[in-house]
Amino acid sequence: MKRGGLPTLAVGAFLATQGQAQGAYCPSYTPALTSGSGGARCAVAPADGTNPDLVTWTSIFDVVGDGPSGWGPAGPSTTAGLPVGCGKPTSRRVVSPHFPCPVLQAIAMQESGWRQFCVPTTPAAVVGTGSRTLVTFDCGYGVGQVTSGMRVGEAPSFDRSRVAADPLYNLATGALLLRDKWAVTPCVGDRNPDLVEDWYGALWAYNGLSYANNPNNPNLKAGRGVYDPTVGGAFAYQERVLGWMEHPPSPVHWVAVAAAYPDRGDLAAGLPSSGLPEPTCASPTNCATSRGVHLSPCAGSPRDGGVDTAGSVTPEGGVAPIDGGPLAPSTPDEGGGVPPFSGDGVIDDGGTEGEGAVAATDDNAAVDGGCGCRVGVASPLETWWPVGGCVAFALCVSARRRRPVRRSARR
Amino acid sequence: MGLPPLRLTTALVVLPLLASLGGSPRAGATPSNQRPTTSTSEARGGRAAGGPELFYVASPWGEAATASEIGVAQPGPDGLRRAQWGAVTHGPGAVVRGIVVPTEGPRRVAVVAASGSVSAQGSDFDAALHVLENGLELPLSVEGLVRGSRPLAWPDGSLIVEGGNVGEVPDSVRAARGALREDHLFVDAVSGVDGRRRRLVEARGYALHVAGVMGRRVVVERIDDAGAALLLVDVTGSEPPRVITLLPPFARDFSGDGASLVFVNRDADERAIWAVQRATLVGGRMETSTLTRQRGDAPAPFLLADGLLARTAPNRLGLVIGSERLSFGGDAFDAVVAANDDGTWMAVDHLPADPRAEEIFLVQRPRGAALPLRATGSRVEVLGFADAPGRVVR
Repeated sequence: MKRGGLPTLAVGAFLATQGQAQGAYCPSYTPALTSGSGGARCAVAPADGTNPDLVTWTSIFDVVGDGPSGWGPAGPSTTAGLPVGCGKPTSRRVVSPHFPCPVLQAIAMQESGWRQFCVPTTPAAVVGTGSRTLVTFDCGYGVGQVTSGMRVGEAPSFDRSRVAADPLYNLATGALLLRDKWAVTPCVGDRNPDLVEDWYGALWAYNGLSYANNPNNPNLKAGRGVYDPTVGGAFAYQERVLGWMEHPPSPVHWVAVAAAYPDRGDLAAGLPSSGLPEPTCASPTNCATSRGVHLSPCAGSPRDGGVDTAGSVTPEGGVAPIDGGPLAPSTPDEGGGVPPFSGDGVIDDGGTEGEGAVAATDDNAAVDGGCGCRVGVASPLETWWPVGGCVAFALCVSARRRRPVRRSARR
Repeated sequence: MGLPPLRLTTALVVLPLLASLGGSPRAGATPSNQRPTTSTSEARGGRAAGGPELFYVASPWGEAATASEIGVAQPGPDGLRRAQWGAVTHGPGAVVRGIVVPTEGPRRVAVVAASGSVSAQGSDFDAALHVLENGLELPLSVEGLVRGSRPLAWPDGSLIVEGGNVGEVPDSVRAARGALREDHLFVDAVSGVDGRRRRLVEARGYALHVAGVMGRRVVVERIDDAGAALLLVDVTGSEPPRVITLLPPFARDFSGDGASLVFVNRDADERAIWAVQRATLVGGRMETSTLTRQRGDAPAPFLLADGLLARTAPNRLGLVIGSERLSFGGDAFDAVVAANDDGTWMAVDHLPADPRAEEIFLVQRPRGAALPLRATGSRVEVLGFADAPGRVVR
């Protein structure tokens, strides 16, 4: 992945969404134009194309969130699984890769502003051509800014031309690279892939595992709060992604997720090999106020027995199952614990109140298009109803939080 | 102008009064659209009467701006006067940090900002040094610096900067152990006249952070896979850098008086405890004492000229100086980021949870009068007081 992301692109996309921006920054380097740079030499040419509309984008995130089992031949194939569980208490095992939509959506916003294609503004040689793949000077391609494997001399297992030409394939490739990071970094919490907070280490690694992204980096401002893209400032990469999650460009893009942050006192010079406890802090530097963890609204495939994910936010900002007992590993066969949550979860920042359940019931399946990846966009009324739907859902779930209901996958 | 001491109970009453003081910029104004109360030429070259001048850099909110304004603010009998002093161009949305350069001649400011050059974008070392004299940028070319870092000004006019080159990402075995990418890092002394660079220290690791000054040497915090250490670095190069102490790799927010450094660090054993420590060089060896310990949040400390410690109050409820608690405009993470020569004025970064409500206050001691900078619409980084270039947090 591109190390620094493309903040200008992200902002450009946001402004474009608001109908305020014209001619946002758009690099589209070709192999020939990168051959003399002394650094990266990009392997494939940009492809002509236009960006999906917002509805299509959210559908793409939905599909990619489900992993290879969801995208099938539309994305790269893999035999690699997703290690889950960290003995806290979930036992370690491997499941089919899947990804929280908010994580994918926020990464893509940070990296490219949800743009696979754009009308080039640089380099000069391509200015004047039509809409084509966004390619940075260091060979970051498209919406996911896929860099690994995209240079001459590299031989990735995926199809580089499709990375350049196909938004879904590009995003799926980026997701698999994120899987690779997840697999090699120490646990966060109980390594539950359906909790957005547990991706903290993988997000850090997605940006190159540099010390610049250590929240204790003395060059980051003391006391900084949650990253707000409309304000900017110095933040670690993973803080930027989590900040995007909390500050979507519009409610149409996704429902805001006020993620919890790890306690930076739990870190070391790098990531502690023993892993990080489940994040509970209200900001990168503020653990005096706590937040609960957040279930992916598009979590939900059966996935090899799944992971115990349904939970509620405790006053301490932790996670407890809906019945109030300790989290316990569960498998559908044994009938114990709580089954994997299937979509349409409620997002709540937990705050200090200890309220804000994260739960699933069969009743909530009807909220498809509200709190999940698929957020409708048409009339203003339709634009806003998902938010109202989420609120109503929250109230509903809050009342039902002690009645866990086993349900099957939404998709 | 007799301003009452600002206390927690009076803050909400006093602040609106301050906002209405004549000459104080109106709320909501940005540096670019407000009318300065001193002329730019006066600000650039003159040494106007009044309180100490505070230099700052204001960058427009968001991630798109490619220029930031350098301003100077000065408390006066009619409140706070502000004027643009210079400007610097940089990469989109760059964080700009810097310092005032001590000089007998024309005023100088040095800032580090992420570069706008295509070849450098995206790297952790994509920042460049900009030196401005009387508000105009000198033609230096010093790149490859750490993004978001703050240079240190040496009395001879040279600038001490952090830089590096990206290293290899750890393999899966090392990554699983929590290891990070090891970069080739260096600290250079750069001539403020021609940009000539001289290597002071280099290392392979995570970070080389210029923490401050002790005696006639620079203190550098080195962080790597093994932990952290403070190095004493001779700027003349006559003796090699040497480790003066090992410490947990969480130390930050350094300030000092030239003889000692104060900083916050996590307790070596208890993860939930943060300690404000004072390090002093005694007979060539570092002696460290703990000034205060706090559970939960890490306070941002600052060593004032009179030897008092200023630090963020527990639970983000203002500022503590000695045993006194101050609050400016409501509860927030307050941190002293600079102080003037005699310690009668300090700049306080007031950071509520909403970053749009962040404010820089110029606070007078001991009365506690607080003047907001009111650069709404901008992220403000304090560069320091003109009469005390070294008294900034690092």
